[in-house]
Amino acid sequence: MTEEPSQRVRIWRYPCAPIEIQQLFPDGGSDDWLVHATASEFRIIGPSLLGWSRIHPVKAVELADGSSVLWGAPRRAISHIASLGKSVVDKAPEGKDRRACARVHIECPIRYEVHSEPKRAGTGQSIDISNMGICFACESLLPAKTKITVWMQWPIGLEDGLPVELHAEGKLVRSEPNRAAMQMEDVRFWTVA
Amino acid sequence: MQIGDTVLVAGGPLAGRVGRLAGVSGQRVLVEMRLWAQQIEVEMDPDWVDVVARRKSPARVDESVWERLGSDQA
Repeated sequence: MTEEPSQRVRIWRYPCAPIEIQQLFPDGGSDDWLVHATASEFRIIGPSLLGWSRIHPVKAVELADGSSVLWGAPRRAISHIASLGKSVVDKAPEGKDRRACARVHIECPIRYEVHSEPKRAGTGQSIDISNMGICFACESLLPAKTKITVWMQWPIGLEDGLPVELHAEGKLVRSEPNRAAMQMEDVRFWTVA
Repeated sequence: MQIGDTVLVAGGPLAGRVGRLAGVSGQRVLVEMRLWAQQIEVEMDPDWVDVVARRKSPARVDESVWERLGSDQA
């Protein structure tokens, strides 16, 4: 049996990709990912990677040599979910605003780890979320202005039934006895096996 | 981190999937994984890879990926 020569799939964070790949998607942001796959690899992984479009925007471009580049924008998942009819708390404001994005009411289980000394971990529930941050109910008063990692069960899974989790790293910008808000600095989605 | 280690992909569209560290390419790592019933090699940034299990038999020669990445940068 003859097989097409195997060429590897290449994945980058948007800012780390070769400039000619970035230029295919000039609206890309620092949390976004880019994938390059040959035609044969794309036949294998393309449909599944395009499946992320249930969660956040994904686009594909075919190059002259038959290979393809895919772009995914995880931070835009919140606008995306708002467009699917989830309840919007605040619409994206017109003109200049500090948040400058819609806040969407989503109640989903979360886990968090506060990177204070000593480290603190707990569980809670999201209250609302925007492209910039998450407001959530927590078990206790968390130390403000500290780094935090939040894992949030996403309300939509992939088409093949795989559940998806939002993994957000950032800092606590507001803290009250049973609720807190984080500003997201790094946003990723994980499949949960 | 050594060649042969089992790794968890921690970023990009394959985050959450498990593979085997297969090598180094420039400043990037190669991860072999089985995706949708096919064996595929994926090149990615090393900080998108977390080791979840060490290879069972230690490499005869030190195959520290981080050292090799360092030498490639020289």
